[in-house]
Amino acid sequence: MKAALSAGFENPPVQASHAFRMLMTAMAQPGIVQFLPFEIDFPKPLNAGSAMIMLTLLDHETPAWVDQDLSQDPVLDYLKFHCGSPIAKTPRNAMFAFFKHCPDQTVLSDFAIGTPEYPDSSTTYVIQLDHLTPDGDVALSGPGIQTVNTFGAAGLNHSFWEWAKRNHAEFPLGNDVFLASNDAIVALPRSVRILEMA
Amino acid sequence: MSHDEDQIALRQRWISILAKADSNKLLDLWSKKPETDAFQVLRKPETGLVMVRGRMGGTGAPFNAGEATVTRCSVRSTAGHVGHSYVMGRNHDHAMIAAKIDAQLQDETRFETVMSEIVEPLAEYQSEAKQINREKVAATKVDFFTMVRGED
Repeated sequence: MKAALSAGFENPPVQASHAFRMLMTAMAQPGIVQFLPFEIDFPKPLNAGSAMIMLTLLDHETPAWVDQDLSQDPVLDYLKFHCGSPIAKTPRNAMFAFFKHCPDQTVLSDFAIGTPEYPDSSTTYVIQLDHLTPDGDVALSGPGIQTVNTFGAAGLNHSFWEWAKRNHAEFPLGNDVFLASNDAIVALPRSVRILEMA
Repeated sequence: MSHDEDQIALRQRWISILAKADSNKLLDLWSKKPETDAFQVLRKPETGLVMVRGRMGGTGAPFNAGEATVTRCSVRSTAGHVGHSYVMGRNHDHAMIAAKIDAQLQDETRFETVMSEIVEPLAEYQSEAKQINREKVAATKVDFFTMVRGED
């Protein structure tokens, strides 16, 4: 028998609003760690943060791309049942991309970065990490940040930061990133300037 | 037919019977069963509209006949079986019970009892109702014929 389906939000209208508010705050205040407002049921190898993003932001109009490690029946069933999202055939068509581990910069460069007319038609990345902490070595500045915001992220490699700097240089095009752990979320929109990295 | 196709046809039959069942009848049969199972609700009963499409004469080009109110629900049993239901109307209890029964019927150890306690009585009741309707219709049947008018 196939692995049983996980339940999503217990009370979808209310919980989706709270989760959406949290994600919006995260994007508006880059580098500030937002803790998940409640617990949800999700299948492994997703984590709570990425599952919450999936349930909140994805629907039948947002093709999703999941990396090889996440591309397993429990995750795909969860995505299909709760969000109804199609699976993107190529990275270029994806509105959201989910990664179990920090991907290499060559992978991150495969996705859509938007067009000058529609910079919003780029892929949003969701990268699963083990830990996110309010203090750490990453320092950011830019829109939404008064002076400097710092946070700690375990599991991001050098290649990712190289990519992030180039991503910022391409503004207003580029990709927005959510870092997701089991209890928190940090957003790195394309507008953010990276001062120091882990 | 392969085994899988048999299973699909079988499930289609019981889902159809559960969906079309009279709500009161279904609730009545369900309440008589000793409820021992716990279910996790994957999707609470929610009501929405679906577009019903038809074909002229059954074979013509499809057209939108109109919208119907439908309530759907999904549950998971402790054994891990996922039951779904799509029921016409707004009866949330009906949708919930139909989904639970669908989950129980997928459990091979429960299949026989649930089938004989709930699904077969409902099927019998439905075919009886159909038969009564058929008889009523047959009784009002009118045969049209034209008298010879002798003009030619």
